[in-house]
Amino acid sequence: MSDIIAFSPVLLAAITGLIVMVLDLLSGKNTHKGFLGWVTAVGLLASGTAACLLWVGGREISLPFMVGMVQFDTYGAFFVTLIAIAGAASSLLIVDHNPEQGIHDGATYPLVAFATFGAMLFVVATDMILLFLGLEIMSLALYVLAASKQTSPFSMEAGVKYFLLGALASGFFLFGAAFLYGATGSLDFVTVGRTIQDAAAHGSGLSKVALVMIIAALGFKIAAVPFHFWTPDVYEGSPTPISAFMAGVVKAAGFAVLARMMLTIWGTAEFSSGWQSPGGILLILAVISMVVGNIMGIVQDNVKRILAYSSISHAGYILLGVYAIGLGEPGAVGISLNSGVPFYLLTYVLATVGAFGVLALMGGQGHEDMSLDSIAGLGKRSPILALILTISVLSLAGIPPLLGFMGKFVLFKQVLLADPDRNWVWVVVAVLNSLVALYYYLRIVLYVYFREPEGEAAPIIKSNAGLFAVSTMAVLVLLLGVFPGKAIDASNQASHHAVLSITEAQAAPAVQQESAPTPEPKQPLRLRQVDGLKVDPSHIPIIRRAMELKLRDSGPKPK
Amino acid sequence: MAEQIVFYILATGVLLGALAVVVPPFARNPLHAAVALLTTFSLMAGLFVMLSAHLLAILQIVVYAGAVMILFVFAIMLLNLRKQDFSPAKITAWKILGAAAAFLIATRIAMVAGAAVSTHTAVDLSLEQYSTFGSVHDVGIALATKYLLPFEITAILLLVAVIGALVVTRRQGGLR
Amino acid sequence: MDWMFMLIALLKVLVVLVVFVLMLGAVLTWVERRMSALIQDRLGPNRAQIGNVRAWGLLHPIADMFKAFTKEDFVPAGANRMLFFLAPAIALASTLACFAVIPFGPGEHFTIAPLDSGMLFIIAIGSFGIYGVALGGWASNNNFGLLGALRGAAQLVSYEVTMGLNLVGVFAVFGTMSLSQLVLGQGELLWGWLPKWGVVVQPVGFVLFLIASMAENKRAPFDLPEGESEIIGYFAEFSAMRFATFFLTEFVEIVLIAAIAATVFFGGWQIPWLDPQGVAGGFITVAQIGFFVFKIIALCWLQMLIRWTLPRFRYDQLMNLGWKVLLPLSLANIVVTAIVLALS
Repeated sequence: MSDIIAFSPVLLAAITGLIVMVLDLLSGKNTHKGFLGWVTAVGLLASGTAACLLWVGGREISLPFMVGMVQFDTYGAFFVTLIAIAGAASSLLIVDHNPEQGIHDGATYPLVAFATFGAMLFVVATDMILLFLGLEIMSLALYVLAASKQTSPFSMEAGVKYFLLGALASGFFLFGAAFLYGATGSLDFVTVGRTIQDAAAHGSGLSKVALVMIIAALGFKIAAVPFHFWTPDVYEGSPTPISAFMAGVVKAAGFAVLARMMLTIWGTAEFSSGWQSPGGILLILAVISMVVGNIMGIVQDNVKRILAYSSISHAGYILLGVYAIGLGEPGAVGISLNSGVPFYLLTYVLATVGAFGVLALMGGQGHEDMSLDSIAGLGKRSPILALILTISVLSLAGIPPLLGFMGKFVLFKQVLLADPDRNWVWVVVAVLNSLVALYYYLRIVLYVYFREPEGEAAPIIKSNAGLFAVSTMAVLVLLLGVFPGKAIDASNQASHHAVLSITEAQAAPAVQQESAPTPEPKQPLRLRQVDGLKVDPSHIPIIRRAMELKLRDSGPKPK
Repeated sequence: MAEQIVFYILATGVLLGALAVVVPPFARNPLHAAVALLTTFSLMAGLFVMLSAHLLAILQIVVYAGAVMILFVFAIMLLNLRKQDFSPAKITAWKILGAAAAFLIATRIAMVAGAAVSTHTAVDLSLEQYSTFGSVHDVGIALATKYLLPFEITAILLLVAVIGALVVTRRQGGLR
Repeated sequence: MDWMFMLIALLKVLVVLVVFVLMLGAVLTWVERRMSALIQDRLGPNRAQIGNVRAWGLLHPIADMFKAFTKEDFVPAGANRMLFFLAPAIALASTLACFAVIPFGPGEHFTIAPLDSGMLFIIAIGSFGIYGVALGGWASNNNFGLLGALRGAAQLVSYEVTMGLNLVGVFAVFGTMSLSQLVLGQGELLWGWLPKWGVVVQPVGFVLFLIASMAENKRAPFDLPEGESEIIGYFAEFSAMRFATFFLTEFVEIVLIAAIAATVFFGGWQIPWLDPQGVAGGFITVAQIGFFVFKIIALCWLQMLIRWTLPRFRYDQLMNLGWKVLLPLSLANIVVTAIVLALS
């Protein structure tokens, strides 16, 4: 029973999909299917609520909870909640898109629900089979959703493009997983990580091949340069609520898994030493993602494309966070996820879903063009949408006092703290990039308030559901921006569980394999407290191993 | 000895078939490419048999040869693509670069994998384990116990695929 | 040792395939024509003779063989020679290969290749037959042929699902996928008098299996890929021995279906109520093999009868039957079987 309770947040999303599917069938052909959007949203929010409740803690279950191939912990709960919010917002945005606009009402909602389910499964899975299933459920639903606007050739193009490249990425992921299995004989993250880190001394080539493959596959999902080519076209061509979903849910899920896999499997102390280390690869991707995303963003004239490039550059910032693992001050070693990463993803998802959401509420009735011109004068035509768009965009840009500023502040600070000697360069690069990005974000605001539409302006859809969704996003961005304490706490807690550790159930058989069990030191290892980071006792074996390696390798290098 | 001969025959066939899927003179005709792929899949099943994974071999044939490839062939026949529908193959700088990169990566992976294989020790199975290894019974038990969750979630994956197929292929204005 | 093993296997192949299956297939071509004639109140072929021996026209298959060998081997313009050559071979070979796992008598000696999952092997290898149809129709560069091939591929894929699913019930009841184990399991008696044959414990499964496998064989009432009366099927452009190969495949498939049905649903070589005491073992074995052959011939006859007495389906009816009737029924059959097994 407790298994089901622990799995309930994810399960609820799947059940929502099934219920919506049956409701669609029962409600007959001629009903307006908008209510299904509400049902989907309520179901997904219920699953988010369940995740929060589990987090807060009941009597029976305490996180982390391990069920077979799924581990539900604070990290999972954080991302499941985030994904649920973004998924619910996207499904509300679809409500008042009528069939003339091409989104097939009845079948869209179950697909959204299932895609959300896939993303949640993706986040909580600790076994590569389950991980792949989650990835495929999410992707398969999205391929279809991207192409669901059948009147538009752009939507078809988006669907085909996303499908072909996505299938390729899935292939890479499978290859990576297969190589990992070949190298370690296991599909379970923790076991794989242990084996690889044990073998690190005599260099396991297979795991490096796997590393590259998996970074390529997940890099596609999070739209990091150079796996980003599909992003602008697909975000532009897809129906806008679906773009919101992709930019929010997929990126959050992709990053959650990327960080967890990288740190659990390859998370030794040398994680970010040198260009060929896992962190080094991530760092390269991070820097070029920021630069390319922002520079390309400047030259765009289409709002959806601008937001697409903005999402690419944000991928760069977050990758920087994943690169700078929570080593703390030099000497104090503890492999943990940079606590800025979950928080930054929160800020990014809320803002980007809000921005895409406003665009989704404009331009209907076959109005495809989302050029800057078409949003000109929005400030006069619909002050509230204009305000929401402005808040979202400025939050993406990182203007205080909005949430985006806090996100950038916390993330960059953490990156700097991780290794002040080297990382200041990358923080400077990131800050400079944020300044460059300001140009195109402000350009949107400029058009919204200070330009008159020259051509045909995009019509505005009257949609209570959509308005509710986007205004919730904007309110969250504002409120959390002013009072970020709780959210930062939450992401701190979440990041503690990002690196999967060996639970007792798994540790038991492992002991038998070891020929000579090393005696545990009597005295508990003393770890320096890093920025409020409390070390989970179950992390100690990994940390200790990381320390040993660090001590062995660092040698007498003078600081 | 006999096993090695059979292995090399099968392996050569697998590789040649896979090459024929993509290498121009043969692959110009989509149906030829499909038949080549079919050959690869079938011979791969032979390799599985040699690893005494009989069920896997049969599933390989049932799923890939029996279902996947026949749909490929079906689609090719429906489109009725003939040679003249394709522009002649051009060798561009990109293709050469791509081929070179692919070759480099493939050799690198082969070296790494070869090194990994050479350091691996064979797993000793007891006679009892060996006799049931890969049997229908064992696989069934594994699917219903350890891999029950993935097995069930696959059902949702298939459901999504079915809904997706309906959405993509529906006629405009037909379904609401 | 190895060579002995190979030799024995080869001998088995020769006996089963050439002596039994191909001969029976050839005779069936004559049976079919005579039987349809009887049903339609005609005489049918009865004139082929050597010297004065006519033997009711039994020599017709031999005459047909000579005809097929000596006719012009015609390849239409624009045909894809390689696939045109391959298609009939694939069709016949995949059908013949299925006989490898059929147990013709008790013990391993009477099976060419006693596999653990023999039934799965048949399903797997049998699925190659589709390629004979699809590639043959496509390679002949003829639109009618292509239409036949498309219909054939769709029909075969659709009914293969039902065919496979209906065997699941039997597997569940007897707890094995090995054909020889299945036959052994069917040797028991239920309540002391009723043979525990597949058809007794899985009657619905048998009927559905027979329907689906007849559709797999593309014969009336499911003869749309061939469509004698409407379009000409996937082998329209095939002549001489190539056509004969396709033609023979059809009859070999009849034998195959009969053999599978006899093995899975009619107790294989088991003779019910047989008391082996006081009879020489060799004699019993011969009797069992003979009984199995008798079952096969009886089931072949049943298929002939169905083919010549039922009108054919329209294409949409065919697809509806396959996906909307047979598939749900066979799933229901599996569920009911599982529940009954779980309760008992």
